[in-house]
Amino acid sequence: MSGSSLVADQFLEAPTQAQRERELVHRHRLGDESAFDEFYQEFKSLVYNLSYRQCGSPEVAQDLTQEVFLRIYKSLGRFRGKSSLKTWTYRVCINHCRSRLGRKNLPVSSLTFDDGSVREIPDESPGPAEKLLAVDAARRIESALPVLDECYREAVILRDLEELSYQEIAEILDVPIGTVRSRIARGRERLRKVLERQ
Amino acid sequence: MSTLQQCCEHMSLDGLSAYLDQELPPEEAEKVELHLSGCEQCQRRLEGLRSVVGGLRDLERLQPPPFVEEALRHEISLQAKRRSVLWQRLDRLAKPRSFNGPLFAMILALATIVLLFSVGLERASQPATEVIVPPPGEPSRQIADRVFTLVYRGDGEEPPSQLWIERGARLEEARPLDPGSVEALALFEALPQLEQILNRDVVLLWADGTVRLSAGQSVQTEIDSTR
Repeated sequence: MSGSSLVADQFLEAPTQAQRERELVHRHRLGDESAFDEFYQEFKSLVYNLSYRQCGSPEVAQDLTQEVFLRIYKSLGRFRGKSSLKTWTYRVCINHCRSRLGRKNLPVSSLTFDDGSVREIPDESPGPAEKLLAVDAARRIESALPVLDECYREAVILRDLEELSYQEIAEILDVPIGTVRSRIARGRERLRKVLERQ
Repeated sequence: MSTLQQCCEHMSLDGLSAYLDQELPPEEAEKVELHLSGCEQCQRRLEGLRSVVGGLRDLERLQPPPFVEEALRHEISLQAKRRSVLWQRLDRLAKPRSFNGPLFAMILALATIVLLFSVGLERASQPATEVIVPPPGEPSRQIADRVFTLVYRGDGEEPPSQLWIERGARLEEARPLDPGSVEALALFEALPQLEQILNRDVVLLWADGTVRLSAGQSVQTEIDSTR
């Protein structure tokens, strides 16, 4: 009785996330268009937010989102499941943004940081630095994010916006955890200095 | 507080940030808490980091506009079409061309013309063929169970002998008769003229046992076979 109940429990057990992902990828390989639809619905927010926070421009983020998903559409069939689909998607998105977004590619204005360096701020920001400083902290952080050095920006976004663990970030960025820890700290510190300038 | 502040080094930025994220091992986290309890400077620094993290986490979670999905679908369908066209082209290159009736007929007609022309050339290069025409009213003779017809060279010369040839035999089945064979001896008994002919012409023995002369090459037998 208990044995049969155990067997029944095993059969009734919900598929794991990894199993669901494998099944989705398999369906995509077979040409099932609904598989990619599901993928898009699950990860559209992730890709769009990550892209937007990297570039600071909705228009550019929309283009990036489309490009990232197109890239994924072509390569999803080759996904081997060595990481989770989510980690893989982050990695594809980060790599694509890196290749597409040279810091000089965006139309930008400039802002002088307290360390004396002149950084560029996308034109999507409200305007001159003085005007920028008058808005709330979140808005100022949002505006300052895209001008952080790429390595700090990626780490801060993945940690504080995507709320990933250090281990997950290390996997996505393919760097040691110590490096992740350092990049997050330095990125936050630079943003803190922006806020303190008010 | 002042004691701790004086006797301890300040916490590293990395340590404070990781402490904020609860990513420090328990023993290190305890050390940080101990330090923070007596260090106002590190407390302020930690609060500054905390406000940054709070500001980041307050950022609105955005959704891509619907047209992004529409544009993506459109692009995917375009690429699928392009790929389909590409595959079709590759398929065409990889597969043998499909049967083309008119083209095949034209090639066949050309080949036939070339063949006929070459045969014509071959025949033209041969000496004039001798036509053996049985004289009108020439009797046939029955030897054993078979009917043989007398034939002779039709080039005006006198026939070398009385030649009898079986009516209706088929050329394709012929093979040369070995004059020394038992078959030939049997045939010589039935057709004594054959022995004379063998000295001059090839006698063909048919599979069904019939005999034909080949002195006039194929024409001779053709004439015979049409009878």
